[in-house]
Parts: sequence; structure tokens; C-alpha cells
Amino acid sequence: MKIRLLILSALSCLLSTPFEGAPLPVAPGDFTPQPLVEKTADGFRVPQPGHRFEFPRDHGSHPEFKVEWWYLTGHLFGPDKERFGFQATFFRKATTPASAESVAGAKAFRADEIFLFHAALLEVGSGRFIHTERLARSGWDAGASVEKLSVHVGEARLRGEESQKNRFTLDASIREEGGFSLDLEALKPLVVFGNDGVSRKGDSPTAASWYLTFPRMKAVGEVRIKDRLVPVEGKVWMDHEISSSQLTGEQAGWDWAGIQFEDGREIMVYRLRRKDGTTDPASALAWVDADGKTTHYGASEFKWEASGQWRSPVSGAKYPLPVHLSAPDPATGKTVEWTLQPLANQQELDGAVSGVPYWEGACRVLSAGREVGAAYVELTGYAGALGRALR
Amino acid sequence: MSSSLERASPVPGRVVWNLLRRFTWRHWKGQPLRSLLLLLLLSLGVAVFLSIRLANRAAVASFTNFAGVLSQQADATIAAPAGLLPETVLEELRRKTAVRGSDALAGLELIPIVETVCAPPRTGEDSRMGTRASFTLIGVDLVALQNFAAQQKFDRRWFDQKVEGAEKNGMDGEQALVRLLTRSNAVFCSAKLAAREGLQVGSTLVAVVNDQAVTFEIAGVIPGRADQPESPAGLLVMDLPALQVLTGKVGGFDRIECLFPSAAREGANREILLERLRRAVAGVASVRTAESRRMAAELMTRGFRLNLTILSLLALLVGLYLIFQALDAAVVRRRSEIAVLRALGVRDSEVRRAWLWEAALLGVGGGVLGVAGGWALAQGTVRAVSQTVNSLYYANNTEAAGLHFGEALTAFLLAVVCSVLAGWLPAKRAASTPPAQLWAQGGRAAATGGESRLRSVVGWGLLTLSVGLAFCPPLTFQGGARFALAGYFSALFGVVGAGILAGDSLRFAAWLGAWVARRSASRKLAISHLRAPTSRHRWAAAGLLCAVSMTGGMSVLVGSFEHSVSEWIGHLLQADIYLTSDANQAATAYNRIPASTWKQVTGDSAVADWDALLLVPVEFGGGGIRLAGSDLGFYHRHHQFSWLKEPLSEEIFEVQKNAGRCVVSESFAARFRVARGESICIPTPSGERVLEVAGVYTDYGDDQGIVMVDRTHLQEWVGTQEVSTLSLTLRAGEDPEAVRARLRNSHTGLAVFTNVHLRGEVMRIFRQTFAITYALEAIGVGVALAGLGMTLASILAERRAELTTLRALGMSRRDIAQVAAWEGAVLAFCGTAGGLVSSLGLGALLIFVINKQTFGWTLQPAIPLRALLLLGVAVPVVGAVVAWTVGRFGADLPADRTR
Repeated sequence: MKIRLLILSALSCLLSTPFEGAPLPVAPGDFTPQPLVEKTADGFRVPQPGHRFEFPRDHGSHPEFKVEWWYLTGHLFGPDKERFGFQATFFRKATTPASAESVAGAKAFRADEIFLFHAALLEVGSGRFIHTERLARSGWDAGASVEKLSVHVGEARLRGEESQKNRFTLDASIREEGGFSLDLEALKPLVVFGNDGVSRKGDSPTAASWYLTFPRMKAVGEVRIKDRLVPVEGKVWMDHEISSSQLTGEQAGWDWAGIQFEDGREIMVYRLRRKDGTTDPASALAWVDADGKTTHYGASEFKWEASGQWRSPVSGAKYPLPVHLSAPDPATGKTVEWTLQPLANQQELDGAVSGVPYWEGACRVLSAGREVGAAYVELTGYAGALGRALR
Repeated sequence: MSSSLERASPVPGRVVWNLLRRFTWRHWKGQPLRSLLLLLLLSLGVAVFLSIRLANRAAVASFTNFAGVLSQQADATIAAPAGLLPETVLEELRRKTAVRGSDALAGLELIPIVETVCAPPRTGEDSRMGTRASFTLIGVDLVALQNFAAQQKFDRRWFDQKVEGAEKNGMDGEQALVRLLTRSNAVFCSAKLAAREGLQVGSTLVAVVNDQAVTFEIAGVIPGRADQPESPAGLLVMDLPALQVLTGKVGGFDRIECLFPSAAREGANREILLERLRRAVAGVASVRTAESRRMAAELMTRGFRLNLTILSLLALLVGLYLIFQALDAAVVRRRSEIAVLRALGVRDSEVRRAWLWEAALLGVGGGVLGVAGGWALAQGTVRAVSQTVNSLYYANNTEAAGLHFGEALTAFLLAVVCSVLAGWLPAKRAASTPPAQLWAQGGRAAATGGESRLRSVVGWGLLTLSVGLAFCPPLTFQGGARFALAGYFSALFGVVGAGILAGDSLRFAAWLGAWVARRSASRKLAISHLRAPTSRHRWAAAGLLCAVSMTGGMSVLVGSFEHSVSEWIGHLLQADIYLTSDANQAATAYNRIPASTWKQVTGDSAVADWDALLLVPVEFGGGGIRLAGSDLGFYHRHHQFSWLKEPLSEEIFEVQKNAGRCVVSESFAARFRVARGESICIPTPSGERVLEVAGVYTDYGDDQGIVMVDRTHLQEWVGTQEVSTLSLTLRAGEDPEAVRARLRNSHTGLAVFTNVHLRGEVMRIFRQTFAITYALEAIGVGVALAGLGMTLASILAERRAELTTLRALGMSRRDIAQVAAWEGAVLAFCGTAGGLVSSLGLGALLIFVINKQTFGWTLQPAIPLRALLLLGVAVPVVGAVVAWTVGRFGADLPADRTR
């Protein structure tokens, strides 16, 4: 979900909501969305509950759906405890239901499917943040296998190992400024968020996704900062989300976090913000315990608040940072509070290609002043530039 | 003055400065008009040289790769040796050059390109070739381009541009992108073209591609950055798949431009990446670096550009004679003062340095003015150069020439160095002659016996050297390009040597003229001045000889060329009607006529016989040549070949028997040193073919080289039924003009010529390519004539005392003007006669050595008598008129004015 969707599907929505320090009130009423339909108006499939996922096939591409992404974030450490945060995202967006409308005979240059790649790297010690975006039409320079996880955009690629369903390699370069190559191995089983395999994102009969996550993966590899190579190890969060239409017209943006606690548990949380200033009831929080079992909470059961504000000198957007989150802990039944403290404020991707600036950054997780984990936080719809860039 | 010099004498530099300030400057100030004229003539020489250099540079530096429009020139270009690159190459390249994300060599950008040349449709009856500015239409992946626009922070995006003045285009970004990618006729144009034609988003632009007039819709202006050069005016960009369909190149493209990551732009990393690319496309395509690609373009036009550059030096060379004679005259005029200075203790070296400084300052002044003038002149010459490059080599729409610092500096230094060189001998003479001798020499500046001998030795020595150099082979470069370096030096030494000896002809002319002048006092007087010619007389004659010799030599070359081309097209053009795509306005435009069209045309009831030619550019021996496919039997039946080495067997003309055989043009044979009977290995889109060379024929339309095979075979190798040109022989009684009109109406994308019209076009283009040559020659002759006027003015000024006596004896101003006119006419006649004689030698050198070595063409020598006669009469007559005018002014004595 997250920015991925904003970039790829709701280009006509202007996501701009002023910063408010207090938590947004949840829109009144129970969240009882409309039943899902089979297909969108433009002919794409809509994710249905009860789907039996098969791997490695379902790690691959689903071209009958309109939107899909593979989203990796993580925290890496060098031999001298040098710390890095990274993000690598492969987006796929079908522009028309079929390829018949694309220009004839051009398999190497398809017009019916487009890929977008984002990568970012934070060198925590120096605060240096580098990032890149790359747009490519499906064909010779971008594509995704329908049989297994194998997606590439330009030189960036994410591939599953032939014999292993839970081992992957990731390569991404950020022009001459840096890059990273990582071997990934899932430390916990795959999690499917939502109810009966479907994650609802709004009231609309098409606003749903299949949301598959490896919440904790071991990463081993190298990070390059200019021409300096650093061997690294760390932990990674990997999402794979498939949908055809998620946002509704009332939604203005959303905030997301993937938290990896030191006790081996994780939280995935998203808050959908509505244009009227309320939190959409489709917002959700899910705990993943050490065995991969999930516990879901609704919008009214957790709080996402800002405990400060950071203004981007690039886009001018005001981001509500740090984040204050409180939610019940299923292990104790008590409400716990955390502060998601950015490792650097400047972790905004400026949207040079997509036209959608957003903040996606590595954070440390503090509870009662003690560091209890690491998180990646995503804040979208705070830059007025979204509408301008994609006018 | 003496006291100040004495005071300054301990510091030699100050003495020189004082000499310049108090002595030299006074002379310059005293004759401002002459000083200004000298300066202007020198600056004209510099300006002409610089303008040609700038125009050449602009023409060569025009659009060479698309990457330059995005951010930087491509580091490497990948292209097939013949035909298109298959799309599968891209995936292979990406796969084989893949590195891990943490590798410092990550970040290789591959930009596939489809390119064609198209042209606006003809208007009215005008169907002249090469007169309409072509567009270079580039097909490139518009989605990928957005990445570059973002990285480079361009002033706009590729998609989603709006109609000017409108707030929104009614679409969101995604809709705009999808719309753009699914439209087959959306193009982006340069900001220049948009401004010139009033184009904006949604406007239409019609251009001919192959045989169709296509209506393009303007999707926007090519994005750019204010601090980067603007896109070329003739550049159009559209989505690659759409252009593939439009040009029939579906599934392939013309080249891949590669941008290297910054860590691999130079040094070992660059070589590593180049090697990876070469390995990735081995056997399918070749990888060329930016330098080698630029070099190839430069080599293609090198002969043409060098010819222009050397011609442009004519005015400067003549200008040098002027500086020499002006400074030499100054030595004579100022000899009394020099003697005084020397007597006062000024050292030889100081006098020499002051003289050299004077020459250098003249060079500085001329250089500065010349650079300014050269840039201004270049704006005019660039169009002529560009049009010729367009007609002969590749599509080129260069309209302006920038002032290049390196070229300007070269021109400036050339002016200074040449001035100093020209001032060397006068400076030596001024410094070395003893004071007593300076006083004793009176008003004459006759050469000493030693100088005269030295002059003869140098003159004849240069002529001998010139003859020797004419037999030296050319320099050869990669790709078969050649450069007649020895030939050019032979020409230079020949002209300078003849110029040095030209003065000796004045005595002979005086002796000969004595009989003619026996009944006229003014003629006698004029002739008497030439019996013992001063060095200025000699240099004026030398300057004229130089100009006339080069002009005459070029006339001989052009005359021979015209004669040969005329004979050649007489053989070649025998059909009644010729057709090609109307978009082929440039030599590298390879628009074709689709099979459906040419079959329809050749099926016309008026057509009795026909032939078609298919042209395919291929790479051979490291350079570009053209592979041609035609009905060799048709050529043979209609005697269209002009053979240099005729095939020994008739089998080459039979399609069933000529597989594996070819005939080659003379340029090809010379460029690659291939002889009849030898075998060559030619790349084709379907693989390499070994062909036996059955014959060598003349082709003056191409200097890169043509390999011709039977069309049936070439079409099979290329996998197409398309053709490049059609020639039709009409049935008896059919009116070619009527058929032409009919075909033009039914095929608006085709250029249709009758035989007469096409012959006229060939000769028009031929003459157009020499237009700039004529202009350069005219300037050279003009400078020489101005030099003649200056010489006479200077001589008359020195003879003031003599003139006053003559006036006192009863000669009128008119009589004195007549004396000057006769003197000038004989001088001009001698320079011209010598020039005409040496022009024959120079013409032979140009035809048999320089042309042959540069272009590989055998020309039949033809002496353009009319042109040479005109030159022989016009120059002395204009010389006499100039001299008469100078004489009129020169005879305006102070004594007359006080009367």
C-alpha cells in the first residue's frame, strides 16, 4: 500500500492535509465496507478473500491486476557498527487492461505496463541521504516474471533463488553516489495481512489488496557510498502487495510503519487520512508474533500522533515527526506507547520522476526512553507538489 | 628625440618602446588611410580563414548523437555493421553487462534509437533537391527519457505539456502519458522550431517519410536546461515504437547510445566497460566510442573541409605579401631616419626589434579585427558550407556558427606570426645596412646582387620541391580516409616559388614594352620604372600571381570536374523519369519507396522499361560505404556504366550468374585499394558476403565508396522489397512532362524528375558546392588588387619630388595618372600572366594528385579557356583602373594645392 499506491493509481487525487499535532479523530461508524466486486470498471481483477497462495508463483507478477509492488526496507550494520537504512521499491502499473492498445509489434517497448523503481540509502553516521527514481515501460529494460520473484528495472533487480522460496537477492544502485547488493533470507514465515487474505483499504468495493509480507529477513551484503565499499549485515522488511484499486476519493494520504522489535515481534500499521481531517476507519494495525501469527486491530484501537514537525527544505512539506504511537500489546493486553524517532530528518524522496514527494525513513523505536526496536516510517500526501507535478 | 633615446639607452626595452612611439607611430599616423587599408586587408585575410574554420566546425559539430540533447555526449554507440540492430540485443546487453548494485560500474544507461531524415513537403512546382531543410526524426523511449529530464532538472517534462496559456490540459499525468504513448504521430520539436513556425501543443506539422506525407501532432517542446545548448532546430523526437512502425523498422533500431557512469567516463574503468560492451555484442554489432564516431564524421568531410580551409588561406597568403611589401617600403621611406638613429647609437638589435614589434602590432590589430570579422562572416558562410555538407555527406541544418575560442586564438596567432614572419626580412634589412649606405642609396630600394641570387635560389628551390612533393603518396587513416598532405605542400611551395620569381618577369616585360611605349612619354616613363623594379613591385606582382594562380588552378579543377561529371551523367542518366522519396533532401536520407508504390508506378501504361536502386549504408574497413542493388543487366543494356576497369566476363550482368560478384566505384577501389578480380567481405543485414570485384566504374556522386550488386540479391540480404530510387523508360510518344505531372499528383510523397530536370539538378548542386570556392577566390584576387593599389600609392608618394618636377615640366595630373595606370597594368599583367602559367601546373596538381588522393576520382582534364581568358583580361584591366585612380590621387601634389 502506502506511497506506492499514491504514485501509481490515484494521480488525480491531490493529497494535501495540514499538519495537526493531535491524533486525527476516527470517522464515525463501524467499518463495514461494501462487498468486493470481481473486477474493476476497467476490467482488472479485484483481490478476493480465500485465495490459495502458491509459491514461488505468487512471489512473481500478477498482470491481471492493475497495481503491484515489491517493497523492501531495512537496517544494515557495518563491521564497526556503522549504520545504514535503505529502501528499494519496484512498482508495476498496468495502464490498460490489455496490450491490444499498445503500439503494434513492440514487445521490447510495451505501452500497457509501466514500472517505477525507487531506492534510497541513509548513512546514519554522516546523515547523508541519497536516493533515486527510475521509470521504465515494460519490455527490455523492466519486467517481472509471472512464475517466480524476478523483477527488474534497469540495472536494479530483485530475484528469488531457484530452489528456495524464502531466499532472495537485491541489487540497487543510486547513480554514482552509492548502491547496495544484499542476499536476503526470511527468518520468519510469510504473513498475509487482512481478513481471509484480503486487506481492505476503504469502503469502495474495489479498495482491497493481497498484502504479503516477510516481516523479518536476514540481510548480508555490501553497501557502496561513492567508491567506498562496506560489508554489511542487518534485517529487512519486505512487502509484496497486489491490487487493482485501493484509494477512495475521500482519502488524502496515509502514514505507514513497519516496526521490528528486539523481542522478535513486529507491528505493521497504517493510518489512512481523509480529506475531512479524520482517520479513515479502514486504517489498521497488526502485530506479528515470534511465530508469524498475526493479531489485527481496527482504527479506533490505536493512536498515531505527531510529537513534532519537520519541514523539508526541498519540497516545503511539513512532516509530522517524530511519530508517537500507542496500541494494545496482545501479549499483555495493555496499551503500550512508542516514539518512532527518525535517524535523520532528511529522508524525503523528492519525487523527481514520479512527481510525488514523500518521506520514507529509518527510525529507532523508543519506549519509556529505551530503544526497543527499529522501524521504517512512510508519510505521504504532505507535499503540495503532488498535484502540481502530476497535473 | 636624441636626448630622450640617450636617456633611455641603458634599458633596451625602453629604447624599442620609444622607437615605436616616436618613430613608427608617426609614420602610421601620417598616412592613416594607407595604414587602415593595410590593417583591413590583413584582417580580411584572417576573417576569411576564421569564418571558414568556424563554418566547418559548426557543420561537423551538428547533431551527431541524441544523448547530447539529454545530458552529455554518448560515451559509446553500438550499431550493426549493416542494417538494423534486432531488439533482442538490448536484453542481451543488459544481461551481459549486469553488475551488482554495489559495483562502482553500475549505472550504465542504454538508449536505443531509431532515426530517419524527413523533410517538409514541396510547395508548388519547386522540386529542387536539397533546398528544403530536412528534419532529423529521432525515435526514443519517451518513458525512459523522463528519468533524464528529472536527473538533469530540465525545464519541462516530456509528457504532460500544455497548450500555451491554458491552465490545465484536462488530463492527469497518467492519462497524458498513456495518450502520448498510444499516439502514433505525436512529436516533440525544438524550442527554435516551435518559435519559428509558431508551433504549440496540438499544432500539426507535415513531413514526408518514405513515400508518405505524414501529419504529426506537436506533443510539446524538447525539454532542456537554460545552461545547456539548445536542441538543434531540425530535431524532432517521437516515441520509439511509433517511429518503428512509421519507418518500417518494427523489431529493430538503428543504434544504441551508451552513457557510462561517472566512474567509467575515463581511464581503466572506461576500457573495462567498453570491453564488456564489445563482448556483449560480438558478432552482431560494433561499439564505437564518442571520439571514433566523431572522427568518422570528420573523416567523411575532411577532404571537403581541408580544401575550403586551404582556399581560405589564399586571402591571408596574399595579405602576407602586402605586409611584406608595406614594411619593406617603410624601410625605404624611413631610411634617412634609420641612418640618423644608427648614427646616434641605437643598436642594430633595437632597430630590428622595433621593426618586428611593428609587424607584430600590425598582426595584433589585424588579428583582433579579423576575429570579429571572421565571426560575422561565418554566419553567412555557415549556410553555404552546411548546404554542401547536406548535399554531399549527411543531413545538416546548421544555421549559425559560434565563436570557438580555439579557432579564434589560432586565427589571431596566425595573423601575428605571419606578420612577424613577413616583417622579418625588412627588419633585418633595416638593422643591417650601414648608415652611410642608407644615406647613399637615395630614393631607390633596388635589391643587392646577393639578394637577387638568394631570391632565385629560393624561388627555383621551392619550385623543385613542389614538383618532388607532387609524387609523394597521401597520408592514410583508419577507415580508408586519405589526406594529400604532400600535395597541399606542393601547391603551397609551387605558388610561393613562382611568386618569388615573378619579379624577374617585370624586367622582361619592361624590355618587351619598350617598343610599345616608344611613342608615348607616359608609357616610357611607366616602363622605365619597371626596368629596375623595386622589391615592392616584385611583391605586388607576386601577390597577384599567387591569387591568379590559385584562382586559375581551381578553375582548371572545376572545369575538369564539370566536364567529367557532365560526361558521366550523360552515360548514367538515360531514363525518362526518375523517382525517389521527397524526404531525401540530404545525402544520408535513406527513405525508401515501398513495394506497393513502386510496383504501382512501374505498372503504369506509359512505362516501357524500368530499373530500381536500393541503397544500404554499411560499415566496411572501419568506415562507412554504401551497398547498392540495381539491375546490372539494365545498366549494361543502357550503357550506363562508365568503366575504369571493365568486367572481363558478361556474367556479372546476368542475375542467375552474378551471385557472389559485384562492381565497385572508383572511390571505393582507391579508398580501400581494391582491384578488379579481388574478393571483398561485405557485411549485410543477413550476414557477411564474400564478393568478387568484377569491375570498377566511375561515380562522381559519392566519395565514400559504393559496392554494387544485383538488386535481387541485395533485397534478399536486406529482407525488403523496398527501393531507394526508380528510373523509368517511357514508351515511344509518351510525354515525360505529362507523366511526371501525373505521378506527382498521385504520389505526393515522391520527388519526380524528368531526365532534363534531373541533369539540371545534378549540375545545379555541383555548381552550388563550388559557390563558396568562387567567393574565396574572388576575395583573394580582390586583396591582391588592393595590394597593387597600395604598392603604387606608396611608390608615388616616394616619387613626390620626381612628380613635382614632371608637373613643372608640363605633365598634367591626368598624364601622371596614365603613367601610374600603365605601370599598374604591366605589373598586373606580369602577375596575371605568371599566375595563369602556374595555374596550369597547379590545376594539374589538383586534378591528378590532390583530388585523386582525397576523393579517388579520375577527372578528364579540361582547360576552361573562357574563364582563364576572363581572368587574364579582367585582372590587368582592373589593375590599370586601380592604378589610374591611385595615380590621380598621387598626382595631387602640395604644390598644386598652394597654387
